[in-house]
Amino acid sequence: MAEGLPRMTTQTLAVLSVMVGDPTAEWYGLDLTRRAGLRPGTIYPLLDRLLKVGWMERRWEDIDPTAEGRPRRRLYRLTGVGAPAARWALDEHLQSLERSRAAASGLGRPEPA
Amino acid sequence: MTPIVGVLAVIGALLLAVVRALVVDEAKGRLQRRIAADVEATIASLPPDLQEEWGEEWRADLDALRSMPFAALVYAHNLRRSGRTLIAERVPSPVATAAVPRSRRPGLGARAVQRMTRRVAGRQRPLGVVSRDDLERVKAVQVRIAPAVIGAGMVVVALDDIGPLQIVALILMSSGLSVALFERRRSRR
Repeated sequence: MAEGLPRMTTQTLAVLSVMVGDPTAEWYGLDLTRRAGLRPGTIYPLLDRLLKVGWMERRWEDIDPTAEGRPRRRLYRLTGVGAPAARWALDEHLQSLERSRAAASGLGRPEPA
Repeated sequence: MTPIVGVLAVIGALLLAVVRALVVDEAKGRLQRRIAADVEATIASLPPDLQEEWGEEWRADLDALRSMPFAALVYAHNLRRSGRTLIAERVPSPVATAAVPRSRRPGLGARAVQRMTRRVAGRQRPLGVVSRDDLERVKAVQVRIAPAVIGAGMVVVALDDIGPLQIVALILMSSGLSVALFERRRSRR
């Protein structure tokens, strides 16, 4: 159930940009960490927040650990609500950066004579 | 002699390689076990519902870092902070809730917070601080046994040349003497 907007940190935006690139794909936590350029072990609170607001869902991998030789992993994907919300959040962030850049370049211009 | 030296050098190099591989394997194995223990400790520090929610996933992600010991070390280190964040974001802080007055209802003002704090402090177990009475009792015992310690030390020293036993006896004697002198000076004041 969506509770509102999650905290939009740089790390959150990085993870969302990875997932928005392929909205139907599923990733496990460490894989998302690597692709988003985060430090290993830091992604879980971020995933928890996105799960709480309903932008993400997760499921356990359906494998036989003995046959695969490794434990099953938890896979994350964007929900039907999360995919457009993530795109909107990324667009908002980009627009905000553009506005800041425009303001900064406007300040730097010399006054006309 | 040269062929023998050559053979010995080859054998030596082989032995060195084997020993080095064993040492490196042992070190890697120990490091992996240590990292796994750290991750288990982080999982154990979570409340039961969070343990159930995240434990298996963290173990599986750690397994994916099996061949990268340094990344696994960083992972285990960062996981501790993630665990604390998950706990903090899951459970609202009772202190923060009590300290913020929501309305004029009684029990939520500054006085109520002070009362709560005093109550919590009263429930806490006392630290293992030694009381003044205990200290006095110990000193009294030391004063009583000091003459005996000094006497025994003198006997031991007189028995033979200086050896380990005599050194211990000298140490005990000097501590007994110092206690006796201190107490004598104190009683004169």
